[in-house]
Amino acid sequence: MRYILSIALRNLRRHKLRTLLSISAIIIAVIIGIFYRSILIAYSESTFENFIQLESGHVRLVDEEYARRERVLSLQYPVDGFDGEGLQNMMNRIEEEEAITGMLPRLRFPAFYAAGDEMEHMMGWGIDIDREIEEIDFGRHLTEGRLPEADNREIAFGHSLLEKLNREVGGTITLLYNTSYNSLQGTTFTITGSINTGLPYFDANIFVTHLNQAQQILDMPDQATELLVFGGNRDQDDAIVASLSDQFQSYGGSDKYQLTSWRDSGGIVQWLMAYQRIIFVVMAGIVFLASLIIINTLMMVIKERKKEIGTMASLGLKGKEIVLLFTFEGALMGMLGSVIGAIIGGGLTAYFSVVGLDFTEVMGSMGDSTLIDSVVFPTFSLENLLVAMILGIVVSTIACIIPARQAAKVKPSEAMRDL
Amino acid sequence: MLLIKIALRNLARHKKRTIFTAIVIAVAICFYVFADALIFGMMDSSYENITEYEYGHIQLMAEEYWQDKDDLPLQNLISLDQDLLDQLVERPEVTGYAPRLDFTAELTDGRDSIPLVGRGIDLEQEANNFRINDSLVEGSYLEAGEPQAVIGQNLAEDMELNVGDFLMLIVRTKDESFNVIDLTVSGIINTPNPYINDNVVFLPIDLARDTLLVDSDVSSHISLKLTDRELAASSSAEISELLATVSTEYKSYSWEEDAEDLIVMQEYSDMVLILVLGVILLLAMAGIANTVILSVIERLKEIGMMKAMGMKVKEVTFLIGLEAAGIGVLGGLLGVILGAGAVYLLTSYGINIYAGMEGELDLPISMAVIYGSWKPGTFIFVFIYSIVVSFISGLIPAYWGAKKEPVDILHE
Repeated sequence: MRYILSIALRNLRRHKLRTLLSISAIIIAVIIGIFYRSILIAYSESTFENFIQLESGHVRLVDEEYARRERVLSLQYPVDGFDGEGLQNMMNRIEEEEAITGMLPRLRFPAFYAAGDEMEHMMGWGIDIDREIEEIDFGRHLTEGRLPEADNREIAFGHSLLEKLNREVGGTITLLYNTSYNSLQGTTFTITGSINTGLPYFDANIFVTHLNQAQQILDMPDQATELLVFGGNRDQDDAIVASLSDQFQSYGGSDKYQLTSWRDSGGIVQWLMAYQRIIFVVMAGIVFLASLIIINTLMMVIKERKKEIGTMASLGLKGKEIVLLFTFEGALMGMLGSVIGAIIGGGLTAYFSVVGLDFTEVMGSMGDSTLIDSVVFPTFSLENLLVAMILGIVVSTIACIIPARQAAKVKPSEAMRDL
Repeated sequence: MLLIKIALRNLARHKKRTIFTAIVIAVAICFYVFADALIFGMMDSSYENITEYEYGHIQLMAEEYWQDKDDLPLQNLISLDQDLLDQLVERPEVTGYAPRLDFTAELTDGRDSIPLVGRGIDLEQEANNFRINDSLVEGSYLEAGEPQAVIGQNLAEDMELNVGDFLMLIVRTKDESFNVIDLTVSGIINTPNPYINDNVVFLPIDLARDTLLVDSDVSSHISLKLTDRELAASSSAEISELLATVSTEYKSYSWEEDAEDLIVMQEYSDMVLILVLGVILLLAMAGIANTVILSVIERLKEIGMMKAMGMKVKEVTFLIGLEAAGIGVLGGLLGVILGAGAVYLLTSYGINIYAGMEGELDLPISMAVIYGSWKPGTFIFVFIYSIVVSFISGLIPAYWGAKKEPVDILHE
């Protein structure tokens, strides 16, 4: 075994230029794989995080009827306790569950502003400010002023929306909305802050006020439209669903409420997960194409060394060992290429993970509804480098078995005849 | 000719090697023509969605309206006299027109409300030139003089509205007060354009004008329908000139100007495609260079012989380069054939890339099965491109082999 390996190593050094050229394709393939995947991972991670924080929590609890017509943002189907006993009671009960570390009740409602002959539509979020700060560090998005306080007619706007409305922090604005009894009401709010989440969907459409303020103006005491539930990390979703289902068993509400894990709650999340799997297959395909070049070289090498093979065979090397020798030679090339590729690819991702890739120009025109940051910092992770490297080595090694088997077919008598 | 013959013969000497190298090129080409057909098919249906259901091919509107058209103001509306409209329709590329009055509204059914766009339409012109009338899945089209509405299917489902139900639109009028339009749902439409299905209520334009307190002959824009989408830009420029003779404020805008999002998206997709093509071809180039070096190493003696017999370095380089180009031709042919097969399947059966995906993107792209479209230009481009790339990537190693001294080689 060892001597076969050392022969293979020596053979590789015989034509350094050829070896280098043969592995160049593998190097390129591995670099591209690593770099692309690092962007994809970064992109997915930030999308998942944004989605969890702003849309779904780890598990989202809403009324079934509300979910069916989500776009309407109906106030007729609130979250108001397991058995109509009120939101606060419900949260107290859920809080006792071990799997659950936090909850964000939100009351989302449509509102509009009438300016001249136009109406500007927007979405209000009544949120429990203290909980939001504690659970998802909501305060970090604040760029100006402060967040609204309880029992005050105060709101904070997404910064693009604020700009569009032509208002400033410290000013006032009168917004119109329908209460849960469907009477059209207007309230004048003081604008306390401007929020920049970096997500056009939020920044251009949404204002926040304190949950209790929203409950007051909408006539929805102790109610919310949704409850985002958080566990220790995002993989706890199943545990959360299980313990919430237990609660439903004890206190009722199972036919009223719907529990949705963040994984199942949105097209973009499911799409990205599927995409990650597809990319893995595409990477393997590209590495295989690159391996064809190594196969070519191996075929030539085998032809070139027919006499050597014949000599070795007549000296007693078995067919299996000859196959192994050439497989090693190919695998070593694949390995060398993959390692070099991983080093260069790792360097590239490490560099861009600090500097960042700016897609503002492309994303800027994609509309206001995307949940995507416009500057991407590729994720530098050893896991990514290892995956690409191992993929490169495995695929190229397997590919090399094909020509290596031909080497064993060389008959010593024929190979030596020319001598 | 002789050189080509020699190159061909040389390629045939190592059939396996030639084919392996060509496969890389074939895969690159096959991928590219398939993806290109897919994107083209997707964009084609999106553009169709825009021109048939949203803007038409050309919109005539006041320049100041264009600047804040997203807010759907009731200021800076357009009014053209019938003579001018007739004159426009007489142009050979224009097939029809339709005036529209768009406004923001709050639809309410007494319990819930939803923000949307109200679109007042000229019943006859709209039915003749656009496809709203053809998209009815339930009920009937609007009747003149009746307070009726046609709404999209998604909107109907979200608000639980059926044909015959009442709905209320809360609107802001031109004199800055609130008003309400009471309507009966006469029909429900299902168009391939998700924006129309989700967000638009169609109603008679006269009713909209009356309620919004605007003049009885104004519109937000007048849509023109053309015989061919491609004519929009040039036609729009000419019509702008024509409009300039009657008014300084009215302009003509082609659909491309309003579909910037999509155009940018298409450019972005094209860029990604070229990038992926480039990456695979880069691998192919490395493969070709490798193959050429292998065959040069193998044939050093032949090369020395040829040079000794009087062939110049340039000719030998060209000969070996031709061999590389030959690989390109083979890979190109293989790729074009495979690609054509894939595109054929795509155009006949389509592909549902949104399978399992819920929710919608905020673009006028239908989330249905996508059928590819044939684009002969792509095939030709990518075939020639692969040959050129192959030839070029063979040249350097070819030169490296060709400049070896015959004496040195034959000595060995």
